[in-house]
Amino acid sequence: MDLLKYFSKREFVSILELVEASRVCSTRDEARSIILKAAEMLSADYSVSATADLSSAAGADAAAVVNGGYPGEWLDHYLRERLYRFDPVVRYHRRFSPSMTWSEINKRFDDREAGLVVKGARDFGLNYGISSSVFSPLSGKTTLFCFAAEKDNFHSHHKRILDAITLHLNIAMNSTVHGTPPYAWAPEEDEASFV
Amino acid sequence: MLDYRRFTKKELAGVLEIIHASMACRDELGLRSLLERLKDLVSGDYSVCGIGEGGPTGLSETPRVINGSYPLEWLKIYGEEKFYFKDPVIWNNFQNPGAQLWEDTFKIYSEKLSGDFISKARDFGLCHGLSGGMFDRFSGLSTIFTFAGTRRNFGHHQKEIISMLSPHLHQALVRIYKDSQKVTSEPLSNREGEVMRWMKEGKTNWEISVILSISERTVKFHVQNIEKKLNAVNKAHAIAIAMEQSLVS
Repeated sequence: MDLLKYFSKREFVSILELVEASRVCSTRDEARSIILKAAEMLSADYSVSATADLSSAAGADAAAVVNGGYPGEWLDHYLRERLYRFDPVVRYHRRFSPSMTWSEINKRFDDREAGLVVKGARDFGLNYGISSSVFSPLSGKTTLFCFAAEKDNFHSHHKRILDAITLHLNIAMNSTVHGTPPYAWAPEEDEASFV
Repeated sequence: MLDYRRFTKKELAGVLEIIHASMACRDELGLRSLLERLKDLVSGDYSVCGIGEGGPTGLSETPRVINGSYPLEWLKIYGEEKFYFKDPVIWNNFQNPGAQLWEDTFKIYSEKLSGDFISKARDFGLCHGLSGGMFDRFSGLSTIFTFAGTRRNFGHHQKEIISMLSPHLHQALVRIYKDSQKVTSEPLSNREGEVMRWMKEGKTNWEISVILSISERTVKFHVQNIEKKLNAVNKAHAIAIAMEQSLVS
């Protein structure tokens, strides 16, 4: 990708600041600041990152989450009800890493459960979003990065920005959250539904 | 934190591209290409990098060198005369890792410096230089990335560019070095052997995932491991090596 053509000087400055901050990141607070900075770069109102082994429901239950301003009530409900089993964004990024807008992802999942998750998120202002993921072969874990907003702020340019920073966000998360999940999700009940 | 606004947009784009290329770099060829890109970014004529073990007093053994565009004759002399044990830029990199302008370093070590070393380097057009590197005290591994030229092109600005990139280049070089230290033909696991057999049959990752009832991503992971173990650049190369070494029937 010819980066020079796509980003403004200001964006390059922001991306490189994030790259350096991610490289030296060593605490959860720093990781949170990095997610918030990424949200600002992407014009997002809310951001969150989750790291989990998505190859099984039990692995997904033990996710480590860094919340960059997602509504707490929604996040608690989402985790308690284990909505990641049906969430189109999680289902999509289990298979595909590059960034994608939620509008595009949602078109691929038309089942009732997916619709309910999307509707539930909208009740909390998470109307539009953009996300990406990184699979780490050594740990077998996937880290998902989600950025949301009430307005439709996300377009192809934002996808390029997110693709440029995703691996660096992952470095920040890897050095802080792996192995220390802050949430103990409920035990597995219905593995078959985790698609 | 460094003020990135001081750099031109073109430089910032170049730095970001080199960072991303460093993260993806898996072999010496890729590293040579990185060195040459960085050489252009800092307006150098020659580039080279090296990695070796040592401590605060310098290298403890012969370093491994990857040449971008340094004069080969000079590298031969440098190796034969073991200049890496006398080179102040190498000493300084152990004591003050980061970027350094040769002129500054030569002043620091003026008492220890051999005039012969500098004049010989100048004979090959290595009159001015800029180096960046890192020293990992835990592993004892030190890396250095050097850019040299006949003209005085290097200043604080170029030094900052090298500072930004040194940690990323260091990681790439350490990764390549450690990979090369591994036993060359590490045996394939049973699963990798199975994946290799289907690769040889011309099956895609997706088809192999269906055959073996595993995810496509897991197949990709096994393929990457196979390529790494066999020191192959791609799937076709891995199949060729495996057949040559009779790893698959």
